[in-house]
Amino acid sequence: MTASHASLKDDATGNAAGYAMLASAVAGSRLNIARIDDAAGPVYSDGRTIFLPRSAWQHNGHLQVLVQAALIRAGSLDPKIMRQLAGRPRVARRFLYLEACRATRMLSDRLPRCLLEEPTVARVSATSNSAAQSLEIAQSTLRLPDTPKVFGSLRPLKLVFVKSAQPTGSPSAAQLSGSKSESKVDELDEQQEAEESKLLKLFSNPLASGNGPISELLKKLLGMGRQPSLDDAAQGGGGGAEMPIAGRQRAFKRGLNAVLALIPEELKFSVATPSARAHVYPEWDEFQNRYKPNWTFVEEFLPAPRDDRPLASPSPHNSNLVEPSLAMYRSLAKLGFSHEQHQHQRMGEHINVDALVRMMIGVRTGGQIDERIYSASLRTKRDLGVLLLVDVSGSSGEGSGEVRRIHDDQVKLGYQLARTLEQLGDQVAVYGFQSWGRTAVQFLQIKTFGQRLDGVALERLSVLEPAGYTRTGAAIRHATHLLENFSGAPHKLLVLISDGFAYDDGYEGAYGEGDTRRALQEARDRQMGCVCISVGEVESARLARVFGTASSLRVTRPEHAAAHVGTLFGAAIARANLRRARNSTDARVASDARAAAR
Amino acid sequence: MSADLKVRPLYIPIGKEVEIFRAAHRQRLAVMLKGPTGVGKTRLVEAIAHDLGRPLITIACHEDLTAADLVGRYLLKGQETVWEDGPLTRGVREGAIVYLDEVVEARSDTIVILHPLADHRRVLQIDRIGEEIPAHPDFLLVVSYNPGYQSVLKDMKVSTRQRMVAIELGFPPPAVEVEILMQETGIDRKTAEDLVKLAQATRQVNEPGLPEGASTRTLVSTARLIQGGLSPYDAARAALVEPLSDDATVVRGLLEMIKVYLAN
Repeated sequence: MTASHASLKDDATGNAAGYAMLASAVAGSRLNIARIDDAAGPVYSDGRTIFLPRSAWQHNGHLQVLVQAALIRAGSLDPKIMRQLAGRPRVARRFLYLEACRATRMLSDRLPRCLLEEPTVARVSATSNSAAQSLEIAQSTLRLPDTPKVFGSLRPLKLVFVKSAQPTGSPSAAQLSGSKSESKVDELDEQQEAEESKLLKLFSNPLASGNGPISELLKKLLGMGRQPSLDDAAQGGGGGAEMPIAGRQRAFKRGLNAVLALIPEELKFSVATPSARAHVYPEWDEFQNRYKPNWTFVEEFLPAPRDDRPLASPSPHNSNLVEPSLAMYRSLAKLGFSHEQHQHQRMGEHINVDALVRMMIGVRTGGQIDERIYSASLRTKRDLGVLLLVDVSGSSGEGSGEVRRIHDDQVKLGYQLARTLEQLGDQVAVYGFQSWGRTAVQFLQIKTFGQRLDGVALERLSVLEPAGYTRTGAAIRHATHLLENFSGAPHKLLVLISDGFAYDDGYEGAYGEGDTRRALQEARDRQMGCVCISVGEVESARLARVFGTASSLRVTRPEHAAAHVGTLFGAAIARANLRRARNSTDARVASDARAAAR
Repeated sequence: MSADLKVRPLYIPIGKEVEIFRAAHRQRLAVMLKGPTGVGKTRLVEAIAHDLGRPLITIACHEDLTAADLVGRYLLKGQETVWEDGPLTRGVREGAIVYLDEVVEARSDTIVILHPLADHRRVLQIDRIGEEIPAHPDFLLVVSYNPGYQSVLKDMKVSTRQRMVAIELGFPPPAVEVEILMQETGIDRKTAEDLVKLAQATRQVNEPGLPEGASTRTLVSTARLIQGGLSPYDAARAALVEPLSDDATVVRGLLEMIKVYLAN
């Protein structure tokens, strides 16, 4: 069985986005839907994605989706329990029966009538009150009815793998299917899970566990990348855990002629299954001088809280979230772009009748005379939408001990810019991005344009952890889409906080740089200002090559940016305005020419 | 807008908000209502005004609202200048409940005139006519806003907030929301339950194009359309889905949810 992408466009029989929203609403967390090429298999999930066979798209798929989502909500898919079910299909089916009954009963106030009154569901009865109790009963000899088809199926091994492979702060391990282990799990069906398969040995594989001597040696050689979860640590690496992969170390001089270049020549991922909810964008092929249509898939996620700290808990002190300096306020306060009407002016275009009456009353009564009777249009209104896009790829995790990680500096700068711009009245959105190949570009939502930079946003910012790679072009295209459709401001600015180094599967060197340049050009063609700010030791020539010298800024410390960002942003917006004016003039000339021709 | 409410508007308490409101009125304290749109803030004020037998003056705030719009202004009539009270001044003199809806939309320099009214002084100072009007004993100042979608610039000043008693309203529990729908629109219980489940589901969704889920107000509108003869699907599409979002993907998702939740 292989998974394949079910895009909204080619989906004639179902509505993937609709099912995804439905499932997310029941589960209380964001879930994906993926179609699988199996003709008539049952629906199952990995805890993040619900997989639907072709038959389920055509008939009653929504009921199975609801049950799977309810299982997630009810905490039925706990990896600790799944480990005990792996390789035991009969017990797993009995457990599914008991848990589906418990979940539908527990969530009866939120599940739709069509599921609760479905004959096979309405008939079932079970007495379990917890997942642990269900496991106990499932392992016993107690007679239970057959599990209704509408409950779908359970894939314990897949659930264990996905949970264990989940990197801290990263939203969906389903998206991380670049690893070989994940690809193999994708191919497991219920029968295969029944075997005490070789895959189970991965549970104790010293390399995969991430804590063995070989792994430690490789870690030292390659540098630390994704951080294993606490759950993994508690489990001695956890079944199926991937060895954390170092992103890639950037190559720049450290001391005399020292070049650290641990970048592999070529990254290889198996193609992950993109979610149906992913945004699809083309990619520019610099070598063939053409676009590759529908090539990259970008999906938005909420950064997951660390295992030891629920999102709702009070945010502890985070040294990255330092309040912006007055210098930054001063630097950015100079940006004022639109006209707005001001009352009570001594000079202006219009007379304010109320003020005039007030003045005349003062004249007649001999009281105080206020001569500010005009209203004037002054260029003081801040009509700026800014999207701050922070690179959270593995390379930004460099630095340890006394050397601050680039990631920490980037987050600090992102926070200070967001806070300053928001307080100045601009529309601000903040996202992080990382990628695992062209089908898994992840946008980590810190704050959308409509949301405030409140405790929840700060919590999301503080749980960001560097991982994965940098498909910058796709990220810029999605940021452009968000700016254009959601900023609600006439002036738009995209601020990329990154080393500017594009690097991903099939996205290296001149190819990646070419696509990034092209994506920036597309944004600028839509009258958006685009700038890149890099913190730390970055190759200036590369930054200038991709972004242009006037649109990039390199600082060694985040606080050094304050003095320059006003000029940088102002110039970028001025260029965007110039382009808008030119387009408008061109359009007018063309229109006049057409009129003259008629 | 001024209203004397003959019939008590339907309001089913979901917590202690009515008790707090009444206690605040007895103690002459200003009230601040917080909560998402369509949750029943205005309805609560109307119900309290009816219970207290006081006229209700509602002012919809916006950023061009001036202090003169609230307290009054001189008008020229023939060769004379005549002072005309604004809605706030009328409310202060008559002992009305003055309700400033979406107060954060007004500029803070306008709102600051409320300060002497909202603290122990309970007076309205009108510089223009050199008068200081003591508030009628039954005068009550109520403001409301939705903290969910206000920008930081539109936040209320701390000095304003701390002069008020705050009541936070959330969406009613399902059983109460069902009752509201039934009593407000006359719809049958089964349909009301399905609608409430649908609304609860939309409130769980976290999508960029869907800042807030379906409110009780949109549910009431949907139920009314159903009572008006539309099918549940068409009614929910018109009154619930389309007002919630313009994002095509979100709309498609919500329509799928309607199909599932209102299948019967």
